[in-house]
Amino acid sequence: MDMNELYEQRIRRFDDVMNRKLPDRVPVVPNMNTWMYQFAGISVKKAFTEDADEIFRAAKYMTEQIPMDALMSTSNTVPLNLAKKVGEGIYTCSDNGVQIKGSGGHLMESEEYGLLAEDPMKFFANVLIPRKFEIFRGASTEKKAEIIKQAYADNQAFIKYNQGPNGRIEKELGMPLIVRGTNFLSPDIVLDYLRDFVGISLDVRRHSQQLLEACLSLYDYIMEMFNDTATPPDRKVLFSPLHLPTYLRPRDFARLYLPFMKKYLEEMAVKRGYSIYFFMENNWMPYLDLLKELPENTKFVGLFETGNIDDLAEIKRRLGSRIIVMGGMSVDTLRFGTKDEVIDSAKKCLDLLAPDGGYIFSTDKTLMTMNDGTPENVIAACEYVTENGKY
Amino acid sequence: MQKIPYTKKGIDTMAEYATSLEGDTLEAFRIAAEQIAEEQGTDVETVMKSMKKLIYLFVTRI
Repeated sequence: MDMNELYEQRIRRFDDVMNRKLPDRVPVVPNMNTWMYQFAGISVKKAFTEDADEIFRAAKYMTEQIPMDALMSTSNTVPLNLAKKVGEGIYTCSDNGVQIKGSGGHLMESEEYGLLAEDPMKFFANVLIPRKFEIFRGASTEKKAEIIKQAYADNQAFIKYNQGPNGRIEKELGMPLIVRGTNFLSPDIVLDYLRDFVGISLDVRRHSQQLLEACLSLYDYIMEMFNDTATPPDRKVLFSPLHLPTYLRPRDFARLYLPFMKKYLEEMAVKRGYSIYFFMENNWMPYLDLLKELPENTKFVGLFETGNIDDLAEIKRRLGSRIIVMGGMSVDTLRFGTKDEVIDSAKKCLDLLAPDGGYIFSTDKTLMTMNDGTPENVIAACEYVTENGKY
Repeated sequence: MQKIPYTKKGIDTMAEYATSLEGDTLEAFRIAAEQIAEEQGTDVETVMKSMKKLIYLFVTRI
């Protein structure tokens, strides 16, 4: 088949589900990350920083053996060469993958929420950047401008570096890369990069109003950045990993996090027509009733990090008009299960989740290393659904 | 990542840290944007939009 036709066929399945139509079959979109490189025997470090053709080779090797309808992305999302020049930052990269260093997310104190709320960009630039990167400390404004110019050039080079393989994967393999960009919801920025888990956990109890006000300001900054260079909605999704919610008590979630989910979906999906993809980490079962505040019939897909297919069926039953359900295949089964167990699980996904559409088959967690699933099992699961998931 | 030593007592002065002792980092982003715009023959506003993202990237993506 012609690659353009194949691309169109694959992305149409995804389109149909997002538009709440019945596709020809259940789309298969494994939540693939650096597993792909290990499967292909390719060094992640080399692919991400030295030779962009390695990204294409990994995608080609994998997609020739595993039937699927889309890749979320190639996972090269951190400009590592830029980071190295300014002092490494919080990520490290090896042949096996990219990892965050411990305690990299504690950069400010709770007493500083007022400054963050007042002007997030100014606070980031004048306080957090010099605090995080030694290269900015003790430097004149002119020297800082030089460092920034180099970083700007490195970031442009990083964008260009990815454009090569991304274009080839879509054109030469007919494989859609469906994440067009990432927007963090502001409470997750505070958790992941500013206060870390211990800090924000204390703040929720002791400084919740200041936390909320800072998150509101930060949200506006994120939206302003997006809008500055926004292109119209297309067939791809805007990705947000939701990290904080399930560490909050439901009443704290309702006050400190849900308003941002709602605001984001109303602005981006309802008003502006973008497709939204939330990676919903951990166990969402205690929060389901609260999620009924989210708008109905939007292009919003939630990948739930649970391999409990009965729970997913419950989520679909209660929230199917609001959330397109993605997931179902447990990486534990992919790692430890037999081929028969994997097929049983894939069959259960189709039996319980596929009827009437609104479902995308995927893994419950991100496949980072070969420990997250044996190739034989990943292939068996995807083959089963492509062969048996027809409507 | 290396953090500068600071205490909770000293936090009020942290916002002034870059400006009073080492120059304003936000201003350095503006200067860099002006220079890039001139070199590339584009307008400063457009480059500043990218700078806004770069500031965010420094704190959250690297």
